[in-house]
Amino acid sequence: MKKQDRQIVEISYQIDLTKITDDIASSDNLENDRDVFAALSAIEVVKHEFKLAEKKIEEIEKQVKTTIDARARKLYGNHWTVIKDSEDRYKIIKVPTGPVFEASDKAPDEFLKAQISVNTEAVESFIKDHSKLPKGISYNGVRGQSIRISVKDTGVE
Amino acid sequence: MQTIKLSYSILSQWESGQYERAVNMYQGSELPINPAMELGKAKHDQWALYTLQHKKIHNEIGGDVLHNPVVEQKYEKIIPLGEKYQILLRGAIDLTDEHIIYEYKCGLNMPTYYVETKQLDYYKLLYPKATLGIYLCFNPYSNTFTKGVKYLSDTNAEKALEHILTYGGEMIDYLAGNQLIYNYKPHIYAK
Repeated sequence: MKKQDRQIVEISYQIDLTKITDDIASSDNLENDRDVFAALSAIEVVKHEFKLAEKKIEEIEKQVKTTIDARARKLYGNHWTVIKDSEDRYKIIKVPTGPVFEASDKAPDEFLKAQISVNTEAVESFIKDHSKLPKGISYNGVRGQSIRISVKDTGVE
Repeated sequence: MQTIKLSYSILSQWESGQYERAVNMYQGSELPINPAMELGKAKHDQWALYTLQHKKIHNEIGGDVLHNPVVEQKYEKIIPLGEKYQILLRGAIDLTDEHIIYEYKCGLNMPTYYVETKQLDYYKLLYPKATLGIYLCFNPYSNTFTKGVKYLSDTNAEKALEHILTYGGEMIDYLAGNQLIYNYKPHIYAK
């Protein structure tokens, strides 16, 4: 068996969350405050490192799955879909992706399901032309929120 | 000591709340057969005959070469349940090949469903030398098959025994309470 180079992923990072939140909370304003900028940069650096590590782990996971599939095919043939151990410690499943069936234009309606969603671009174009909403369309009063932070010139590649 | 003849099929019906169906099966009543079940039975017979003739699995479900196939063998085991009753557990395994159990399935269900059932655990109890269970699932509508693998150890047999004692015990309590117990005279087919 060919000896492969060891691939080891190690993540170790310290972040002083108390200092970061204290610096932001005690800043006079959020503009031109070096401590705030440093805090936001620190978070971005850690995020970036973790993203790199996550990407590496995903590559390794993909490699492991490919190896498992190759071994399972050799042992049980190409049609294997599940391997389960006797102690319920693990189960390996190979599933096809995508819809199970496809339809042509001859398929009767009873076997089809239509999903309706708003065409945002068409609605915004109508608003620009008519200065009002189209009939049957209203603004979504229930929307969630997420805060995104982007930081420039952090020196992170 | 009274002997109650039970099987995985009966006890899995009881476990899932299908009490009437379980009792009917215990009493030997014929279950209503639909076209899918008829096709499944026909396929089972076809595959079994092919294996007997060619010493391999039918090409429709893989065509694996076998070493020492035994087809549709019935197995039995006596399980004591207190002083008054004993359970005669019975099962017919589609195909064994030394340490491997093969179970044929015909329909839409995938092996991922079957490996989670207790069927192979029961078969491990009945056929202790098995270390591997394989489901061969044929989809007659797409003409394709899939294969599920379940490793078997003493743990599976223990799980089956626990299942039998739990649900068999419940069912026997019900049968006794409703005077439905039939004392079966066992014939041992294979140990």
